[in-house]
Amino acid sequence: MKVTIKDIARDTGLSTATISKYLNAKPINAVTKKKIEESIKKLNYIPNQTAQMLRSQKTKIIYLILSDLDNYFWGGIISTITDFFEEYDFTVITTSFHHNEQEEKELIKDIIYQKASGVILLPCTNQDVTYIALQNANIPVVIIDNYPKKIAEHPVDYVTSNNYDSGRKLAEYAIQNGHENISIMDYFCDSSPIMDRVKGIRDVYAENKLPDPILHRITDLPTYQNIMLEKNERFNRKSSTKQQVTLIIFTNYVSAVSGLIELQSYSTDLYEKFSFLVYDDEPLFLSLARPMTVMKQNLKEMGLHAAQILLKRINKDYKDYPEKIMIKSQFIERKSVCAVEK
Amino acid sequence: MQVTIKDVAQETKLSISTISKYINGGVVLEKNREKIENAIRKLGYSPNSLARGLRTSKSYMVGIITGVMDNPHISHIIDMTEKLLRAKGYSVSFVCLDDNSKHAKDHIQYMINRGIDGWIIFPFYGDKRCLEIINNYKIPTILLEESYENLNCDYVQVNCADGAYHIVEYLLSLNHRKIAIINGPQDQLTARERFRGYLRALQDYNVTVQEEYVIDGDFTYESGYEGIRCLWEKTEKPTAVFVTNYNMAIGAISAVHELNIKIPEELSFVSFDDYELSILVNPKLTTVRQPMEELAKKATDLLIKRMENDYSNFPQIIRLAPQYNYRNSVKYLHMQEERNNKL
Repeated sequence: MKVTIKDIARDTGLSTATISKYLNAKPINAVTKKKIEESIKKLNYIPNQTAQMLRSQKTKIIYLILSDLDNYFWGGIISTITDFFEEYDFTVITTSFHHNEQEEKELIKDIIYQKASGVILLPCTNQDVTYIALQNANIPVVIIDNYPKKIAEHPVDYVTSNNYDSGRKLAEYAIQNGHENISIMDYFCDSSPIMDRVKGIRDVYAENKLPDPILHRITDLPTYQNIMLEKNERFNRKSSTKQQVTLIIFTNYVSAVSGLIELQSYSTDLYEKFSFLVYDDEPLFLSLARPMTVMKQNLKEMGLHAAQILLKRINKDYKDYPEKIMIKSQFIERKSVCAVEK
Repeated sequence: MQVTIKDVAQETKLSISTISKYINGGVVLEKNREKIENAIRKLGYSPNSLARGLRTSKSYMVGIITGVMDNPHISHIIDMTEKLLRAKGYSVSFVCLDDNSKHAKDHIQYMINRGIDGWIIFPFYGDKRCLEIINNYKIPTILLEESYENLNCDYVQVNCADGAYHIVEYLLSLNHRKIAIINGPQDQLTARERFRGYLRALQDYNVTVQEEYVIDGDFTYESGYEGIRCLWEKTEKPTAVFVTNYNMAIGAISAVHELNIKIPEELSFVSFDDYELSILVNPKLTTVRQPMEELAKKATDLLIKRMENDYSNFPQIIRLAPQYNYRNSVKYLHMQEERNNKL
């Protein structure tokens, strides 16, 4: 049980009013003061800081809001941001709204009410405009990953990966290996990073006068529970072309896992039939029959940049507002792409 | 305009003190509770946690101490824990201790100074002495999947010994006798228990433990990978292997592919933890599944009870039963094969 002011009163035989006086730095008798200090030390009492925070209107609390905590992808971001702000005496509260808009709205309301010092937000869709409410309440916000569609009308600082350029890089690699007919399996249509990746890939195919990649889109939320059901037909197939696709690009981790599980149920020699490329890396991809060639995001770097920008804004430094930072992803070549013989 | 407690009082025709009692977790009449909950939902009232903290001298903040969050096991449990705590009005702050956490103690002290109401601790590597200060401050603490000496807290664990025993017994029942194990670090309770289950099952079936089939791993990808490579160099290869956690299973499967080992024809494969890997490989894996939802639920319920000053049955040890998924990675060995194998 936590030690309270009452325990100090009991221990010293003084009234709680006297101890409260001491805690609020009001003058008290020197002997009494010594008694209280000894008791505080002995009982390991921690004064409640909430009162001070309410008085000063400064909470020194940063909220890190993830669309989904159930994704250890973000683990590196959580620790980077928490450690960074601890140096400056801020507490980082990590929370999530589990892809639920209503939950997110209530959360934002709570944060405004609490007068948080700042927010780092990873929205789940680019339609998400809840950050505007925070800005209106004078709470600085930095967005990571999925930057908003309405960024022109409602500017905000954001940090994301160099999605378009790395999409291009993946497409160029596919073409170098002779893959002219490819398909893209993606996850959320409302994701700016994924749209940029897809655009990068398609632009390269268009510039090389090659057929436009066929787009498959995942149709439900690939949570752990959903994935483990091994439900099929998550990807809708709009294509009616007769071209033989030789390579599939997955636009993120979840589309890769769901897509591979589904494809596996149709074909036992999956890795003989298709080459694969994935945006995002994860140890699981090393253990496939052919280890995946991937584009790996630098999440810690993203977290660090976001934290640095937020700290500037909290300190009222708006010189370079709004900032737009693109962190370079790393191309890692493994064995999932075979060259096509002509 | 901000909805306040007064609006809730007006809506329900109850007194402010009744509503305040409800918000602060006090006992109110069932019919009043319903009324209040409906009004809160209707009006969109959210209690001011700072002001609430002032009245109750609580911060409504729970600290979670973890190791590196590098696997789905921990993220699933954390996700559920955070969800359950927030439903009760608590927010969550993390202390992530990686290998170079020299400041672990400072970090924990800092959180204590911010008035953390309770702790949930996951297993982590490194010096456990940083936890001593938590004890000094008598803050309610739940330790998950581990048992550290001198830590005065409640425990929630999965019965890993049982899970290991059961899955090894399954191999034995299909006539496997040359069963290898890739162990975790023996200073962790979960690793020790899994090894104990393996040993007990072999003993019960009169199978002598062969040292060369006991591989020391450390729950990392690399040690799973090395484990399989090492086993496959033996002149007498095992017919089955039990890999004792998820990260090692990923490494082990990676080596299986590299060495072109046929599962289950050449090697039967079972592992602890059931995540994407189990259904992403061909054939799909037979595994022990830990009840993560239940683990998160029991831990948060118990923590909330303690934070509300209910210390009945302290310290409590809650042990949960694992589940099993039988898929296609284990082969039935005919007695003939078994005999041939012996010769």
